[in-house]
Amino acid sequence: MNPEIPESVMEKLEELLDGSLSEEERMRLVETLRSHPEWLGEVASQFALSGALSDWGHPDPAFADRTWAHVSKLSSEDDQDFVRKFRLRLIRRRVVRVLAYAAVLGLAVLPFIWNRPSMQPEVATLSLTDSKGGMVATRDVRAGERLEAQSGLMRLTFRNGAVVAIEAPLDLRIVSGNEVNLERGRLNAWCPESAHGFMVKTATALATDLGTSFGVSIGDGGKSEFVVLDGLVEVRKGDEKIRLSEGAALTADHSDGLKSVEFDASGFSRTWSLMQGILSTKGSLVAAKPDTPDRLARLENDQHVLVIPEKRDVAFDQPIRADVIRPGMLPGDINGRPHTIPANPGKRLSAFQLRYNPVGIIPEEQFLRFEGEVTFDRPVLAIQCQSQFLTGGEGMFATGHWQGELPGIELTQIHNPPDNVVLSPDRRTVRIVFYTGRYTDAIRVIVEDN
Amino acid sequence: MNPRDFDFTKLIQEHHASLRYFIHSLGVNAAWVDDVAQDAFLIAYRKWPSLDGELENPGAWLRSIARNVVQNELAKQNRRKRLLDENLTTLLLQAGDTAPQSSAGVLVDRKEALSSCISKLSERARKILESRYVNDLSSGEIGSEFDMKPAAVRKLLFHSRQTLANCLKLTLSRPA
Repeated sequence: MNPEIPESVMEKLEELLDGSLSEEERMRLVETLRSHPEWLGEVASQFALSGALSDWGHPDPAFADRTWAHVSKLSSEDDQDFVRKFRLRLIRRRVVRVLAYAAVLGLAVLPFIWNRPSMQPEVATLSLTDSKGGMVATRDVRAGERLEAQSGLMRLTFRNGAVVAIEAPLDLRIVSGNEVNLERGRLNAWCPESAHGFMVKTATALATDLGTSFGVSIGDGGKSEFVVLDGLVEVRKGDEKIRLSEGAALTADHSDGLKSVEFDASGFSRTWSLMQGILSTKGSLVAAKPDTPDRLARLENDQHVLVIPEKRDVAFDQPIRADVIRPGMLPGDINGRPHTIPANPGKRLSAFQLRYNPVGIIPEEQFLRFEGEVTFDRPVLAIQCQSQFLTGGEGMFATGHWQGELPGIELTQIHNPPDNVVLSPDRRTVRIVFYTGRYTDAIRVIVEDN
Repeated sequence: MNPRDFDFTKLIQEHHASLRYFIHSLGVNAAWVDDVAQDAFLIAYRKWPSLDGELENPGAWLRSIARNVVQNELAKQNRRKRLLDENLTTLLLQAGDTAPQSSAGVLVDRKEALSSCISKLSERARKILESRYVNDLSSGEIGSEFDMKPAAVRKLLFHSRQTLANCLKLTLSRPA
């Protein structure tokens, strides 16, 4: 009889097998198994059976023949041949992997690979994401290229600094380094100063960015919708021209002129998150819905800890004080002492609040546990967790005013374990556990833009 | 084909399944198990002539080669992605032949025994195994399909594999 493995360990093993276990949980699981070597036999048996069941689900009758072909071929080669072939095998495998990803994403593979006007300049980098938010492939794109896809999310980072996230089904042509034509699909664009004047043309209107963040979608019958999330955008249809400011929206169709509509950016959730650099969230952490900076700063939610973008492209011209400046766990191997990172004027930074801010009045004695993680496309420079650091970063990063001192998290609590924050070794994933209820818990994650 | 190669192809035929399951049992990422197995067979083939047909337990010999291949993976910084977790693989390797996992591969070597054991599971468990291993659905997706929480799906998968392991032990210990 095998020693009884607790259900919590069973579940983590299963998550490890299906690839959904976070790095932090994996470390904990291994430590648990290290202290219970009597469970290792069962673990090995589970892994072996999982392999056997995979074979049962996807039999591979040619494996033995393929292995013999592989063995007989490689064993007859000299060492140099072996190295050359091994490299070739790796290259083939990479190509197959990229094609497989493209197929999984439902992307139109042929246009993605071959519709590349070779004489035109390269104006942007295209990044493809998978269903879990991971970046699976990147390549440069040239002016004149057309991108078509049936499903999936992708992002264009233009040489002038503009960032455009696009959701399929889509048909988009990159006219130049400063203009795209959207025939079908939905996009969010963010334009720093260097990219002001960036244009998105649809069949019915032309939007020109005057700074800094907006969304465009093509609806039924080719009707275009424009929403401005931050700054100002000029929309033109024939002789008609309207300047839209943040929190405003309008539509343009073939028959009528430009028409103001109620601002509702909820349809842009996926593109907006990707444009901000949020690759994925898990558990109780969810990305805030797109909105204007002022409204984002005041968001409330009883169910989740929200990932709320703050200022972007901020000059790193003053020192930053924070309690987490390297991978690890707070409290744990990081002890909450203040650290100061000196200013580095060549760098630009962005910030995100991870905040639980309840809507209703929750009884004081009721405590809730929120656990989740968020992965960014850029490395995290620092995390401000305790109130004094969070409040200290307000001037540099906040997009709205918070009344009073911003609450951080509690590193010691009377009735609960401490809140905790983990920064992954690759500095891109932040994991949190908040024990809270009536009061707000928040931290600020500062990422490096360049 | 010369007699030596003929014998080796027989060795591959007879042992590739158990060898791959053994490699799985060491915590190698499923996507890389076949590669590791092929590396092990290549090493085995290079050693094959020196054995001169004297091999008492070819399965154990292949497993010891595979164990070394996996051990080498731990030393290669950029190849650790082949493992589910390098520290876990280290633990499983350290447990060595004293732990029951050394027989993990052998246990599931008989395909017909596995099929027979699967048929003894409840219909729900069989359908969930199918969703996971035939349709490649995640626990969340299976949960939506069967109106179960993902944690309950994970638990059921774990227990189903335990049941299968016990069934295989019984089936294979019976005289043929």
